[in-house]
Amino acid sequence: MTTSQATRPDVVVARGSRARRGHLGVVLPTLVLPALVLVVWQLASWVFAPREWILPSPALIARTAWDDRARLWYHAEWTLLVTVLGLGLAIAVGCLLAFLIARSRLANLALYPWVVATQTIPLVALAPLFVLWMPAFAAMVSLAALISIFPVIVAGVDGLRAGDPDLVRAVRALGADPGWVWWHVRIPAALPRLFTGIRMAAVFAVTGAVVGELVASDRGLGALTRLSAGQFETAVTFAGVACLAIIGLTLFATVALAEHLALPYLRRPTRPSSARNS
Amino acid sequence: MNRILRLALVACTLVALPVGLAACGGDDAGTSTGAAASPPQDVSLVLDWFPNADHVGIYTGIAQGLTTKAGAVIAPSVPSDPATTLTALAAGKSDLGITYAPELLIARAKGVPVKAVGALVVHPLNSIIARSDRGITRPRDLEGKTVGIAGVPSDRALLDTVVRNDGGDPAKVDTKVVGYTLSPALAAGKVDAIVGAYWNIEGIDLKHKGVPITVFRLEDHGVPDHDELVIAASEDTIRERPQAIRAALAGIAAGQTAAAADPAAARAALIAANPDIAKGVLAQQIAATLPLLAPADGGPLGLEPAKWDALATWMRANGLLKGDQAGSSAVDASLLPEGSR
Amino acid sequence: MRRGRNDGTLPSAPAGASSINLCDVHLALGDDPPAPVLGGVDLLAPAGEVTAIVGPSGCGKSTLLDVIAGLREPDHGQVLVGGHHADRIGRVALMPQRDALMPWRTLLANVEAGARLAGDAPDVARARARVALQQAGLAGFEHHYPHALSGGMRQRGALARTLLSGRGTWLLDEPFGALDALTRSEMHGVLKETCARHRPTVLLVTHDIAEAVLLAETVLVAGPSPMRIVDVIDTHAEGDAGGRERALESLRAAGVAA
Repeated sequence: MTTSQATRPDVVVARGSRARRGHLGVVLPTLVLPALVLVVWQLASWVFAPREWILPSPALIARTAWDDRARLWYHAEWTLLVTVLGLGLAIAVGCLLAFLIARSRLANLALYPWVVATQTIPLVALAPLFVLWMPAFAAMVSLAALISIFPVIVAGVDGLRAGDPDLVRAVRALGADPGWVWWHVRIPAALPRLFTGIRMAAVFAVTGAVVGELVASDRGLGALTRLSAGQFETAVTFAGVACLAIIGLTLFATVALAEHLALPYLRRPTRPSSARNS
Repeated sequence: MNRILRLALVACTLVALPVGLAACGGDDAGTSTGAAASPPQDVSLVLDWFPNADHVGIYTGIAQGLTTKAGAVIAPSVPSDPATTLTALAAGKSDLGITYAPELLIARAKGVPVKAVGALVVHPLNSIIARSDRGITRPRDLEGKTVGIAGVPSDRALLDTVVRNDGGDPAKVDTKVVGYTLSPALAAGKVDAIVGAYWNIEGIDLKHKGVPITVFRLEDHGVPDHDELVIAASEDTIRERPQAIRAALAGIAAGQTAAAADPAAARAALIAANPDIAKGVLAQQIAATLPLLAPADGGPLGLEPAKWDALATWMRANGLLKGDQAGSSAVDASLLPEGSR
Repeated sequence: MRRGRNDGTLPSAPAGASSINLCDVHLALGDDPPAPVLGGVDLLAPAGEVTAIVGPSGCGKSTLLDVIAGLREPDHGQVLVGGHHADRIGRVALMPQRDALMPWRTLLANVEAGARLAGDAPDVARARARVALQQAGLAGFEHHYPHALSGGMRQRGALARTLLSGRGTWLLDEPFGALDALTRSEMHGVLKETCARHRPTVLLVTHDIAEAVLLAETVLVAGPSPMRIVDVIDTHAEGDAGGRERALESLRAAGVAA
């Protein structure tokens, strides 16, 4: 095999200052837009001076958020917990249902249409009913799970059905039994699509938790929105919304990180250039 | 570089625009004042909720031409979100609005420039409704029971006051947040009592459904008597359109009196203007509400500053109100018709 | 099957290089009505030799390989791999056109799977896989993922996995079809070397006549669907070099698409 010796690759790895510039290059552009919005908003507030209970300035919101941080945390903690547990529940049950639906035609016909039907019921109608049937925390978690389970199931089923048939043929011919094929081929092949679904589910879970709290709870950022609006504490409302955005972003980033760690083969390193045509 | 500058300029404009508009909205000037004997003026009125028995006087006044005779063409509308009625008034989006006395006081403490110009319902409708088949005959029987609440700060304050007034220990009363499905929760027996439902609307509805209930009226159990629903206007509108408001209030007062005189016609007027309204127990609800709309002593819509002072004091004592503005400063009775002042 | 010594070296010749024998095999696929895909296939691929099948596209070559591998059962006829019919699954290794490497496993883990499926313990499998990769000229790429490797490297990896499966009978389904001409000719060399060293039974499906004649001792010509073998050409007739050219000519004359 003379060709192989001639093509030792030169894999380029970013080191030192090049790597640092890389990280900064990701963070800076993301911050530019919100920074710009905040600056203009603050300037406009100084110029036009709208009433504080109609549209508070960013400085006032920040000050209020700091002064009321205990109260904000009291509500944010609840929403965070509800969202994380709801998402976890949605992932666990969603993966199970996706597996059943992909595996069995009977399960597909019996389950899938009803999964879709549950998604069309408006959350605002369900929230009060859930609160009636179970303790408040369980009700909120169930709502968050209910709305975020859909993308998990759809993506999971899609991923499980999108196997490479040639790969399956080759592996079965080597003597792999159906269990081996599911565990080592079909399920790993489904993971990229599943993670896409989970990323969407993360965002939906936040929405679900907040809508539920808005309608039928006295704790949580959704409830805080309603309560503070009723008290004309507009700055607090905005602070709550900012917290929500942070929670949503953090959740999304966590899922993306988990995906990055779980699917190392999707990272695209610099390709060995000379080895391409070996 | 040029492209970035252009993008920045667009972004700046997009952000500054809403801020400017928000500021402008708050200072919106009303229309010019009218002379005493001018043609009927348009007056917009935002309700507190979907049309119900509490509004029977308003719709009777409109249907029987009493409001136009007084000089106002009233256009009632349902709010998209009841919590924004006062802000809408202050922002000039409506001339008059129906709101709650405690909410008005809280808004004023926050600097929202609104005032009550008339009292639509002169006693509390909010109440504690308990299931009599759970062994509850008096407020202190609520100890050890579960009370369903909507999740607003006043719920607990009202409950505690009522229980304490009867010699009970509020700490022994459990609450459960059920959102706005108070009646269904009580009917289903998921809670033993509810706070936040109106005795004249949900109370009658529950009785009609066969749920055995006991009603604890707030003003009978230690909570200061106050107006449940008030007609409010922004200070700007009061200053700039006093004639229009005067005409509207006179028309509504006449409507309340006419409704009390002929409840059947009043019911018909309410249904004619709102075909979707639930008709089953409407007659009973109207009958229960009328004494509060057209009280035997004094004319309709009458405002009593002392009641407002007492309410503000109670709210402050229960941590519901900040600041030390006197409650009576929230009231402007100058535009009420003669018999009601 | 002989496994190989625990010091991690490969067996010198895969045990069980079996002959492949098909006798009047029929198979129809689909519903309403089922369409005949194999219409009476008679085929002999002698043990230890390379036999090629050439034919027009869509004539059912992949289905034929599925039947031989035991992934499908024929409606009629006999399929014998080393004399076995019913339990032939697991007796042959299948290499499809696009490399059948699992994208989520490193090259080493992929090749290892071949040995694991053959029943080896994890550490033995890993050691054997390392040796196989070295012999395939892929040392140093063990921890690369397939997407970072070129097509040729991936097929060499697939070949190494096939070797490790310990099976002596291979079905290659247009294995070099996705490669560029330069890489393809390199792979021809790789395959010839591997076959010379290990002497497996190879049934090679291809639509490249030159490739067939170059690699195989016997070339079977398949007719259009439903498939039958219509001609058998011996490329090494009388062991003379001119045999190849004659085989090429007769194939072209038979109108088989190049």
